Amino acid sequence: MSSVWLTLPLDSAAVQNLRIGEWVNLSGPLYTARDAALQRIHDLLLEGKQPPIDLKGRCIYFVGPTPPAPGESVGSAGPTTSRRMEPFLPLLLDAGVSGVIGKGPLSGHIVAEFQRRGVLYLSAAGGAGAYYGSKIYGAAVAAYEDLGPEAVYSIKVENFPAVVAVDLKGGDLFEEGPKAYRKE
Amino acid sequence: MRSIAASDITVAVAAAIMEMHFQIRPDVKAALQTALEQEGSPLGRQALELLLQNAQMASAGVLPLCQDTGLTILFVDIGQEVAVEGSLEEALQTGVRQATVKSRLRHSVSADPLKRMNTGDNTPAVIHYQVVPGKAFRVQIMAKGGGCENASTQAMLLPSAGEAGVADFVVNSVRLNAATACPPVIIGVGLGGSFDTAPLLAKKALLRTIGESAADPGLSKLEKEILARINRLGIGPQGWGGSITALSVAIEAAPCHIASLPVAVNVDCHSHRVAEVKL
Repeated sequence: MSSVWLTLPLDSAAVQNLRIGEWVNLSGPLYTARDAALQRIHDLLLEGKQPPIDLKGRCIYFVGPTPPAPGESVGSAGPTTSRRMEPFLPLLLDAGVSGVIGKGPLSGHIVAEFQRRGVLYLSAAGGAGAYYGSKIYGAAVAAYEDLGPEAVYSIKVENFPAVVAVDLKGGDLFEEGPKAYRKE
Repeated sequence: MRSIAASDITVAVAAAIMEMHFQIRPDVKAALQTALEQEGSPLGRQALELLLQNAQMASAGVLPLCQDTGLTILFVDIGQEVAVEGSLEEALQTGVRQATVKSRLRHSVSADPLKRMNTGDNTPAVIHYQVVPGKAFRVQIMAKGGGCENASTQAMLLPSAGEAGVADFVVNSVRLNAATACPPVIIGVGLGGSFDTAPLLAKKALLRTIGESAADPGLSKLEKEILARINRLGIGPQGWGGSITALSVAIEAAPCHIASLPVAVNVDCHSHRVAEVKL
């Protein structure tokens, strides 16, 4: 499959030209976060406090990995459901998050917010934990170690494939993609 | 009486769990390969190819198929002529705990639904016991991911809703929820029973081998009709659009009240980690 090579942190010019349904191959640093950590970060932002990680210009990967094998830094690490993170997303975008990676659709009002702010949503393939785990290097806890699999990890990905799910031109893959195949 | 040592149960349950997180079931692999042949969307085919590649990588035994190693559900059939030496409950929970450590499974269980502290060892597993005649002992094991479990639904329909009402409810549930549940999904439907047992029937339906029809010809026909309708929704692999949204639909039915038509839809993802232990 043909892919667009993207280096993290995201370059806003490169993001402009992406369209829904295109594969991208990501390389560079990401933060992982999911329910429990995002709740804490959200609560801090709500109180006007600084979260333990600087989110400006950064991408977040919604994932809770399995423990690493000896000598490795991460285990299986496929995406988790993005929709569950919606309550936290408006404040995360306020804090400067430039893109998120997860699985499944986002609600219309969140998609509109992504497009208004020029934030990219990439869908990784849900259930491909072993595959994505092999694309991640140098995982280290960045915050909330007590949360175990839900801690924030600083990771580096290399040749990490994902599909553009929300682009900056108003496209939403989860709305548009099914149309050609819908017969009921 | 037939005697079974609790420690033998622990060993067998742990071994089955350790296997099922790394080795894709043959019926699931075959269903994914068939889906790859039938899928009309290029993006859908690429998603399915990636999932098959993932299964190949997991089979090396280091990285589980999916990072969501799930809440463990155990269906225990115990013959009334079987005596377990030791605590059956403890034997089962210890099996889950041992597999979690040995296979480096993710800790995916909250001790309290509101306080959300992690139990740190994937216990307690949810256990359903059934006493059966004779000397048999069987444990059916399912590792249930959160994303697909959250896509599950239940309703108390009017008896007059009938087959058409049931089919509409199931198809609509999938339309609204399947894209977040890692499609292509596997659909278990529970029909009848009571408010509490319809979902249990739906979960038991997920234990059936993929592609195996209900014994009842009417239910078998309904399964095929619902599957065909689901695959006309266009959701496709990963929700990216396509012709394969579900790999199978299995229905389990039970007697119910004359005023009720309970229906429950339990969704499983394509990883479908289900195993069986017989002692």
